[in-house]
Amino acid sequence: MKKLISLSLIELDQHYKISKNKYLLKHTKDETVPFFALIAVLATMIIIYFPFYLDFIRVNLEYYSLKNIEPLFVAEFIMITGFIGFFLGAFVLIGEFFLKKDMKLLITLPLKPSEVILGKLSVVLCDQMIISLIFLLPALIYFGIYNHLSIGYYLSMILVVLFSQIFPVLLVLVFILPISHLFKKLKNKELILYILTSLLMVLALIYIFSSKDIFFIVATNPQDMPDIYINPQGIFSRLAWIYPPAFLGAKSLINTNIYRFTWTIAFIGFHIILLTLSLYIGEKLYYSTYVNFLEASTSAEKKASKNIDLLFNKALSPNKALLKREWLYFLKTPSFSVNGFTNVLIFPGLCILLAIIDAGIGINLQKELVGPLIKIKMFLVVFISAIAGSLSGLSYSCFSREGKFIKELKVLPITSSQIVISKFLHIMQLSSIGIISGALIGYILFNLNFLEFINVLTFSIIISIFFNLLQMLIDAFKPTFDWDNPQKAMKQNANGLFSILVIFGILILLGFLYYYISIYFDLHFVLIISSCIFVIFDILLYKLLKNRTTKLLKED
Amino acid sequence: MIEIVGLTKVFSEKIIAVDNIDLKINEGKVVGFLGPNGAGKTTTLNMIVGLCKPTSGKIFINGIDVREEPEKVKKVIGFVPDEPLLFEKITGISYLNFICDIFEVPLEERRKRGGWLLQAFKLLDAIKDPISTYSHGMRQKLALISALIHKPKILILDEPIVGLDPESADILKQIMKRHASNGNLVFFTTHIMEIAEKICDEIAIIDRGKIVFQGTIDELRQTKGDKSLEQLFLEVTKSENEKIDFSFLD
Repeated sequence: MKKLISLSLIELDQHYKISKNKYLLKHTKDETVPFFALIAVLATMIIIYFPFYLDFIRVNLEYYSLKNIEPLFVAEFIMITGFIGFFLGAFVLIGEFFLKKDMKLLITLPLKPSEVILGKLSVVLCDQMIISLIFLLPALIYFGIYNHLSIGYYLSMILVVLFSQIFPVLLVLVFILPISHLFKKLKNKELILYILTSLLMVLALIYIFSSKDIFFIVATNPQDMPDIYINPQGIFSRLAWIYPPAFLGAKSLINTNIYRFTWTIAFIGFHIILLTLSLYIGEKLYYSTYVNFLEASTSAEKKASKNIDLLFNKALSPNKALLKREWLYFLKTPSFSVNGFTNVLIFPGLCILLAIIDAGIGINLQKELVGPLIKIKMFLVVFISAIAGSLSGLSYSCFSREGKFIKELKVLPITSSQIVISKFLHIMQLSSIGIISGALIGYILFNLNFLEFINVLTFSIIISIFFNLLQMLIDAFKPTFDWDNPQKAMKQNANGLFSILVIFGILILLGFLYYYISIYFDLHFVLIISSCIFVIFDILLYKLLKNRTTKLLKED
Repeated sequence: MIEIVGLTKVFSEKIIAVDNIDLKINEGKVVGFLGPNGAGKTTTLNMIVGLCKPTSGKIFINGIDVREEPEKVKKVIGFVPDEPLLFEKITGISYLNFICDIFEVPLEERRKRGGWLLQAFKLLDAIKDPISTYSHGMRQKLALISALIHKPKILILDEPIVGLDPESADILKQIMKRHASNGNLVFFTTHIMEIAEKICDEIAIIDRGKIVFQGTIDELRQTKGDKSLEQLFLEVTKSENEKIDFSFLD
């Protein structure tokens, strides 16, 4: 037990850089600026979004109370939190278990695989806990206050919140361990692991979609509603099969006295059984699989390599070589490439999904969802296209992704302009997939004519350049070079959080602005003027970025 | 020529890694940079190649200020860090081609020079494999080849012998000597006194951030007596090894 506590503390210390940050805060005062900036960003986000979220909780709870199906409210929030944890945590788990360099040390220490797994789980669960604290905890507290519940409810609530991420995380782990073991001999095992996990996510999406009639009351076809009101208990029991922790957790929260105690024990027991199963599988497979991850296969073409002319067969200009380097480093690191390609396609994909659901349910999207905004439909397409083209995760991590290889850029005889241009071109080449697919989907969804489409596409490209340069600048100010697994450079990068806040903020502001301007001016004209203004912003941002990169490369 | 004037590097607020040093290294020489662990050797080298920003002082390479025209300076430097800095997922040949592209080495030149270096260091068989499959020594060889392939005027090497097999170490030593005799400059750090004694035209010793000696080994012997370089080094750096009671281990 002592070993386990010590291991977990070391893992957490390394993951959150507690000792290092304490040292830096003590010795270098400059380090406090980004730390407080991050706190300020988080506080702003909470202040802006929390009232909306509370309102959402209130409306939902009142609706469920009115229909006398309150237990489903609790279950639904436990389940949604679990699903979010599942989707956000899957890649993080792969990074922590298979790509983090610390395993090279841990594997040499007298530790059982199960102990290492528990240590690593503690890190992943701590990361995931933020999801439960944001989504689940306010809903359950609100539920307790709304129903004037006793202290027993709050004690159970703490347990439910603390355990809420265990099921999704273990589900991914139980999937990944045998899969990684199965493909451990293959050459591109890291990529295969990502692809199969993505496949698991797609399956989960299909599963959620096919089960949505059971638990998402508000979103279901109104004709099915009577079933829920007639037999809420039956629907509730079906939850046990769809998402067992939601069923058990909700039962432990809504019951009283001995029943609450019994259901709480059942809730804890369920998680312990799942944990035991995961540890059992891990004990058998984890180390042997990881050792294979460390081994790399060599080429069989020994003879072919002896022809020097074939080895040095093409010379590129420094600029082309740098761009090629960007693509190589990106494609050869699956944590980057899988995230990058997924990010540019996810938003247009969501729009298609929304359109399909919309068509299936029979509500007219344009009337119900964006009815009052239809007069700025061109901007709505720009919105979709710009988000798809600028939230690829590449720009806010353009320097962070370099990690220790930033030193390579520092020692090579290249200018900061060459570096910025190669990074920018790489980002825009990938982003163009998102920009074009976003614009096309918007074009179809909102029935734009050709002229509108060209205007929208032009502005989307210009504003995407602006957003990408802006995010590159954010990363140039505070890059995270010191990462031990590539996920931390992209998905777990604080610059991403900051970028999302800034981009959505700007787009929402523009939306308001265009909404009111469109009363007086034609939106075609407004978008053309905006394009010209943003071209100027793009040039200014590029200059700022170039200067900042020069400074960054001169820093220690 | 490398000229260092009043160079200082202070980490955080208190740690002085390099303390107001002056050094002048001329072409045609192999110069060893010696010093105990943490003396400031790597920090000095890192400041020369642009990995680290000096707190104060100037560095001139062939008369050009490193901070003023870094690209021009880097163009004439071949650098091998203490830990080979190589992206593991690409092949060795991809990396070499990338370096050649950046230094604008013509195709014919890279075939001639690259082919010779690959054969000399016996890396030809593995050059199409991903770098992740290389041993530490092979990575060191690849880093050395990439530093030499563009024919740099100045070769800066941080612990270049570490990890090399005796045969490759011997080849490197001969390359270093030949490189200097061709009118170039080799500046390298090492902890192996025997190597310093064998190939260095001059040595510079740094201790606690300060240069405590610069000159030939013969000049050091003239001032400190006819002792082995190891003994001279311990004396110059005021080592307290003699005070350690090793009977504790019995």
